[in-house]
Amino acid sequence: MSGLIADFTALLGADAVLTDPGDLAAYAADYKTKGRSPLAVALPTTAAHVQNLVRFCVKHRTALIPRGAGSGAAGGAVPESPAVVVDLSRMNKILRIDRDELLVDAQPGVVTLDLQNAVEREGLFYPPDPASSDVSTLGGNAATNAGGLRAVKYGVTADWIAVLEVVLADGEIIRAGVRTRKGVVGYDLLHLFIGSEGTLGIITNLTLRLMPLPPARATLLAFFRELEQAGQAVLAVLRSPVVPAAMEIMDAVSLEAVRGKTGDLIPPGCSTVLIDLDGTETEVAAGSELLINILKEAKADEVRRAPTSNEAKALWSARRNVSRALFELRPQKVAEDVTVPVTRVVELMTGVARLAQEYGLLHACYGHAGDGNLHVNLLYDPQNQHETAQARAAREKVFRLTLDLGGTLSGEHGVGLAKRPFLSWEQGPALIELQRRLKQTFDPLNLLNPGKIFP
Amino acid sequence: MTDWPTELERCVRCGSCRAVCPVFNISLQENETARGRLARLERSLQSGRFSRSDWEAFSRCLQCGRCVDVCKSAVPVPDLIRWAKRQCGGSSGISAMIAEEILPHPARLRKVAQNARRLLGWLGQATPRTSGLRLRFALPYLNRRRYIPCIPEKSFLEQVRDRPAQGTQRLALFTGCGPGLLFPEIGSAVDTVLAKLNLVAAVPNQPCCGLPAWGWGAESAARESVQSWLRAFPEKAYDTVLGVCASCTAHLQNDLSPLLAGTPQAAAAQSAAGQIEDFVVWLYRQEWRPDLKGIKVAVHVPCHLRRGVRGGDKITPLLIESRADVIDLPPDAASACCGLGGSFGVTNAQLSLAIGEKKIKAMLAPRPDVIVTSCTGCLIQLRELAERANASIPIQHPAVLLAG
Repeated sequence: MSGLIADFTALLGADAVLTDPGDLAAYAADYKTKGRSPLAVALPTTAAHVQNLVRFCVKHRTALIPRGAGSGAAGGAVPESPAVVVDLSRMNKILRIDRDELLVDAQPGVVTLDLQNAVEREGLFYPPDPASSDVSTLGGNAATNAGGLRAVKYGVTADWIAVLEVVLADGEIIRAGVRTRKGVVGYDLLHLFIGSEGTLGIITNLTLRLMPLPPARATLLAFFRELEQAGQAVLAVLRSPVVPAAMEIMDAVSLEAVRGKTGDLIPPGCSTVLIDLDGTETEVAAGSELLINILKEAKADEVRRAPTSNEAKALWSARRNVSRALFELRPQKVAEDVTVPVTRVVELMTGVARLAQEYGLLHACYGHAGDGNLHVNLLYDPQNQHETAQARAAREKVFRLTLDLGGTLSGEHGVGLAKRPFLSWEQGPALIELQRRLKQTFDPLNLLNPGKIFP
Repeated sequence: MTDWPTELERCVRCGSCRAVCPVFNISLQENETARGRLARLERSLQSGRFSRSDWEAFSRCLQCGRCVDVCKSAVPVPDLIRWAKRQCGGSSGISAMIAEEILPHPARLRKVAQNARRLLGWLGQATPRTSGLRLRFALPYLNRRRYIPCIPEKSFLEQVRDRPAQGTQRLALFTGCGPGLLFPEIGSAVDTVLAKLNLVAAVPNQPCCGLPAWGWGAESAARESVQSWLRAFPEKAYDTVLGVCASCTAHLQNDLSPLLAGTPQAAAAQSAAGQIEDFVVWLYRQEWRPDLKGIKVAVHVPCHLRRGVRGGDKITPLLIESRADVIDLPPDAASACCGLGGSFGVTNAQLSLAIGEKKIKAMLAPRPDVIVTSCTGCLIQLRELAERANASIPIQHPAVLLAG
């Protein structure tokens, strides 16, 4: 190993290689999953660095794990066997914003929020918006096909990537995708790389699509005494001609967790639907009016329009903070990003409530009601063995319930290590085998993020 | 620190600290986030061993506390870092010698400052550029063509030695080493302001507050300093002890009592910690307001003032009520750290300056007439940064501006 490290240092420079065991400990985990420390960490700044690293590691049969911000929730960037972590945080340059073609070229370590802010300063808009955008990076977003709050109108990360530059397992650099608005030459490998969790190659550059920044925005807030009514209201909105830019549902427990942020904006004890509208002034005004009526007809206790942009910001910031804030209620949680058809969201939420009661756990549900992607949280105390076991057992029941409702086990976090044992619950053997063969083709020595996704 | 490991376990590893950590945002490596440092700490605890390289790694934390502001689990990261540094055996070498043998002792401290003046004179470096606090730690600094302090002919503490209090309030001044030994104009300005209220504060013979030792992880030296401090400012001798430097004040308000918990001075420490008050916080409660109309001021709120001092930042409202034109910095810049972090600025000089560059740029951009800050560490750092940015702008303690 020491020879390897010396060679890394020669490849990248001394300040770009970490080998101190105390430093490496920081790379043993992500947001939710703990693994083991890597053999070393490389901090490349160019695609050529990554290329050299890959060639070198392949030659020495050493596994590589690409890592962005480590904000992932499925262990996708966490080592479980000896491997070198490639931390792409230093590749954080926004290279070029093309206002006419509506494209931006950026490196994988750019923080999502930094990109959003940079293009907004140019009057442009990058819609994909994972809740952790202040931390997550573009490379990680692409590798997990991150979703987020605006997916109901604008889709997910995959819908906004034009080209990915990828270093393959043989060290070749390829560019998958087209900069044009259309393109059907060859297989659509771009979308194979998106969401592949670093198992097929290491992303070293992204060309993302942009759109003009919608000039107007409005935030609507509807309170419901019953969760069921909130779910029906979401469906009513989805049937209307107005497509909200975001439509989030939060149950009473989720709201309680972020009460400090929302202050008096939300009364206690109710379920809330939070809606964002964007477009031109006229579109937003007309859309708001229509949706307010729809929500009232759907038996909302009250519908409000956030009076100022600051209040709207406070509400959305509260929503973004639910995941982290739930830790204030219990020290640990099972948090699953299961996704069901939008018509089944209410059934999922009531089913989870039933399971939580059965297993004696505090639970919270919130998330992207507009696209059926809920965040189901079962809160527990890891010091309490009984509660921990109950949470684990209830988790599997949540997965069963989701599949019974025609859903999928992960809407946006990915499989990683966390959902690997359950892959075969959702996908048939032939489908899994085909994916294994693809992996074999791209990475015959199984050195790129080995062990992820497949059981 | 009471229930120690539970606080570590409160970190849920969400990574929010990545967005705000000034050190991470320069070095861009996960091990230099709060989350990464806590992973190191956990590893050391599990192995039951804290090494010298652990101490060095923990010393690359500014202890600014920005991570705590965004942490949903409110993990007290700076406390944990200091705890960890103490487990590593605190400090060693010349810095430890200074922290342990000089700082707690008022007479030795004065003597060192005087001799430093002579030494610097010999080196031909006693220019008006000032950076005295750094001398407490790192002599290698002298080789780096960095700011070298001009030690005054007669420090404020020498000028007003053993002065008793006068007026309707029994006030005492705790100057801290910066105003007391290096920047006599700050102490004089405080005197001028108090004179306008018909008050004279007592200035007893006084030691260092012990914050440098505390931040360094030298617990016994820190304890010795606060014991010495307690002898200088005995419980109930004064109505109020006014702290001139925000960082010293924060340290005494928060750490004096825990440092002496379980000792015979525990009760006295607790009561003394309640008697020390930040000078500006105290002044804001008085009715006096000078007229600062037409003066454009940028305020650097020290991290210790923002998070540690009872009453928080009263510089800004006091200046606004004094009709000064206080610049409204963008939120990110307003809360940004100067990068000094006490001994951090010594052990990680380049990193410290790189962090501070962002701050000084943001403060200089709106072209203020003066920059004020109430921590002498910040003051020195900002002066150095301004000098490096070729900006000739006065950077002062708010007392100097208020005294007129």
